[in-house]
Amino acid sequence: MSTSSASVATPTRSHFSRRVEEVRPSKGDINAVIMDYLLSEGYPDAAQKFASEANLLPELSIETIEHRVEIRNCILAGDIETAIERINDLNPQILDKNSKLHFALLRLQLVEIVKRGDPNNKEDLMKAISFANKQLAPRAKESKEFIEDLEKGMALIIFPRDNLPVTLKPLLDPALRFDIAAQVNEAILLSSGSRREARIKDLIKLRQWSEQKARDMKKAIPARLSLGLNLDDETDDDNMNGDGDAMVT
Amino acid sequence: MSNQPPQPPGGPQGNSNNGNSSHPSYTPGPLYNRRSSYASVVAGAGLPDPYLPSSFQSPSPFQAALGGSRLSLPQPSPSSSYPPPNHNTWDHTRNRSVDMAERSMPWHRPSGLSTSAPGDNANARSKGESTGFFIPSYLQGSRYADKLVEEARNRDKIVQDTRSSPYNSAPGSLSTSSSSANLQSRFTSHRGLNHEIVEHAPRPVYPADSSDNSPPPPLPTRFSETDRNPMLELHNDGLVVKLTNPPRRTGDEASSIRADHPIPRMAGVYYYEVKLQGTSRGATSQGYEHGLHLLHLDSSDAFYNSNQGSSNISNNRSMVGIGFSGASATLNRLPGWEPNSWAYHGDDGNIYAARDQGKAYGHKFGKGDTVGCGINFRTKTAFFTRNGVLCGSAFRDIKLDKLYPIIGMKNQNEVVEANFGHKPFIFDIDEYYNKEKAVVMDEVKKANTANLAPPLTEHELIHKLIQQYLSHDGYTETAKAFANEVAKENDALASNHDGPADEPRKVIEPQEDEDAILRQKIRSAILHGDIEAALRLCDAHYPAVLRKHDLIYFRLRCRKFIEMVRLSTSSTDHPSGPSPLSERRQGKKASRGSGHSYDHHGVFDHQMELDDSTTAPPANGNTGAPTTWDANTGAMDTGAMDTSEDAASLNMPSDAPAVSETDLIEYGTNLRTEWAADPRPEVQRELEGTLALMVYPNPRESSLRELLEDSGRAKLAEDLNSAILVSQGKASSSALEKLVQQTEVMLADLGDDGGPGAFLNLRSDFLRPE
Repeated sequence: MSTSSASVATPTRSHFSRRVEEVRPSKGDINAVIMDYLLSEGYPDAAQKFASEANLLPELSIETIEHRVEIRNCILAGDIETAIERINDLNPQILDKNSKLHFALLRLQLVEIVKRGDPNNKEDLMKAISFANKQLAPRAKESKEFIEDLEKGMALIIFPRDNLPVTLKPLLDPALRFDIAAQVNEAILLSSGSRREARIKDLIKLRQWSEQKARDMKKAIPARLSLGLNLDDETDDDNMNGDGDAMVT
Repeated sequence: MSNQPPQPPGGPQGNSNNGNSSHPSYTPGPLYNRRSSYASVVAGAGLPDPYLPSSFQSPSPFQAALGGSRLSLPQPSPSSSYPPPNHNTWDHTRNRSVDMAERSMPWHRPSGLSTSAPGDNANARSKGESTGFFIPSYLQGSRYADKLVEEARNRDKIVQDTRSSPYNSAPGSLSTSSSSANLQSRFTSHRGLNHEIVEHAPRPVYPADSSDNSPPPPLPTRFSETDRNPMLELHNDGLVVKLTNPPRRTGDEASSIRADHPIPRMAGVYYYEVKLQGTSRGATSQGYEHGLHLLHLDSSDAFYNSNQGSSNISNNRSMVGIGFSGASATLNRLPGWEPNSWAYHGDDGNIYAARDQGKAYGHKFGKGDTVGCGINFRTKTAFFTRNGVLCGSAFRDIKLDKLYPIIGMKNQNEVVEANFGHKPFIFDIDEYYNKEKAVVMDEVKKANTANLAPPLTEHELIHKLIQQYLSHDGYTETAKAFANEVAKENDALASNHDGPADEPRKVIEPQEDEDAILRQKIRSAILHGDIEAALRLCDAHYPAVLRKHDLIYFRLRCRKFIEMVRLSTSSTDHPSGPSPLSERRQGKKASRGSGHSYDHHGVFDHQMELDDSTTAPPANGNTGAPTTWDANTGAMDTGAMDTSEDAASLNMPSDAPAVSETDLIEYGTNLRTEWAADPRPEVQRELEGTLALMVYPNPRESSLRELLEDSGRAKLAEDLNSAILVSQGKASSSALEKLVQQTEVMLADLGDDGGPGAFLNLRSDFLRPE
């Protein structure tokens, strides 16, 4: 489509968005990415509905998701003990072979114990310390990283909850549970011979990388490249405010 | 020029054409081994005439490897994967499973080049570069290769329009038609796998070059007829060069020749190899022995480690230069000495970067050696290989534009054979390429997405993208289920916090959208082949859309005809018969939920309680959550996703009324009357193609069977969906699609010049990996 028309007034901007529009990803590909996410990250209900609505066959059977969903929800709810049990029910090798993950789970358990306990109650304190002694200390010898992590966990016990040093704040952040739940999910997937991360994650990384790289290499792309997700409401009006105005020079 | 290599004088007659020699692809070869086949090339070369290159002599080096006698070649076994003979092979692109299996093949050869025997019938080969289409092994599956394949496919389509050929899927049917016999020789292959290249053709997803839709630059395929020193003689479709009787040479005069096309930067890495056959003078028996000698040595890797450049061939050197140059570098001297040329020379083992002064680089090389030349556009470096071993980086910061493979030679009767990628390389360039690709992939994996859409975390961003896609595209039930599950996830997280769980929850409520539901209804109808229902719904709710997009309307009408054809044939011809695997698979894929009880009126009318065990009652829990659940096959309820019927089902409502021939003809006639006057060529073409289905007693086996596939429905459904969206003032693509689109464009920017983007294929590396 090498139109040689004289519409060169705003050449690059329109050129870029026109090129963007000319790319026509197949819905089948996009649907496969969505299904891949629903299955690998464990959204069985949505996966079933999607299979029906989009006329797709899921690549994994739905049942295998359910264990993972249960485990994930345990972790998200802070019930690490049950999560570890379930993981071991599924395949004890998963944690045996992955001491880092195992340690991360146990330390999360420690954090949860501390969080649940009353800081002024001596019994609760002892419970946390004894858990750390029994479960974490013997494993911590394995690596320096573990020791540091353990120390941070213990520090939680000491500091008052509302006056935590910055370095300890992440331990109380729900994101930690998310993070570990994701790691566990991935480990289970790997152990069952499935692939790595969900495709959409790589896709997002690729989008980020290519924009960064294109800017680094001074390619002619718009100064602002909207994702088309209007974060205030659901409507997607990126056609209007989307592809930026000014060019990088 | 002569495309026909000369018959070797007095050479064994075994060389002349005989039944088998033109079909070298029958070697139902077991596993292919680079090194040993290299050895056999050498052996084959030696047999009848020691100085002519192997491919002159033998229809296939691999045959030579199989015992040397072409007469005793095994016949094609019915189980061997002999490819369908023709352009029909494109249709195999649909078969994903094959695609994946073949992708891992180290080597693909699409179609016949010039390994056929001398005396092979001349019209089996066309002239010059049109002899065949190939993708070098290391580029298989790359972005650039996909573009090449797609372009070739488009070209092929044109050819296909002018011929119609019966489809032969059974290997045994090859000899039954004369046309396939013809094609057989046109599409010869030495590995019996000549169709797999087309397996890689992606569906036309990313049309042409997104930058300007121009076709991708071609690969060098042979030496140029015109861009050569006149002393050089070309053989074997331009792959073999021989220096003939030069007049007395003065000083550094020599003869050089460039390939037919410049090296495409878009490939990211480019590589070619040259095998030195030596000079012909007095070489007859010696050369033969030499060949055997090499065979012996080459069969073991130890050769490369222990004997490299040592005594065996230490006095082996030729005044040959191999490298690359701009279009203007003179062809009267060896490359490397001249401005704008870079080369590795055999007589001294030096490299020359556009000057007379060389730099010590590697071993000398000569007769029997294979020297490779590679350019890495990402790192702007060049390298050479010798007998499969990398000699290290040769040039850096090279100028990158319009570089041609070039070779030059000085000695009379020097014969050199090039491999531009139409057959396996001696050097493991695939590994080299994959390492390069891994470097880029690693970079991508390290990308930090934290700032992509602040304040969203990656997790939230993904959820947002998915939620928006589902709503945008009208997957309303999925959107609800997903929102619920995400809410549950957040509930779980919140549940254990001290205090009441009344903190603000991050529930992404899917919008309740009448439009979305309607669009889903229309899509669903089309996906199930009920075009009539889709048209009715459209007419009732979006009358303007079809008026405005009459091409879509036209296609819907055509599709209706196609669905009628499917119905009319499905009763007589069970699809599990000879229908190609691809179609069965398509059917399997798409039949999900279609089953027997599809009822387009009922789909959204049934109410069904959400399953308590998995669904926390959402705020909108009793809006009657319409669902397709119960309207679909009962299999759905049991959670058995893998229904047994789907393989056989052609996604057809089985209780649909049978379509009689009269119905078909009547509808077809109406269709034609309605559109025959339309001036648009694409309309006329599609109309013709559609109506031609009537001609075939069994359309599923006709060359038009592609039209019958379910993929046509999906395409149409999406086109219509987009048109409706646009008519409602909404963006035609969702954020997730936009993201893919933007990424593809940026990758083109980062890859068309050979930069890092050249190593990434958005589709096969990211959307559909494995």
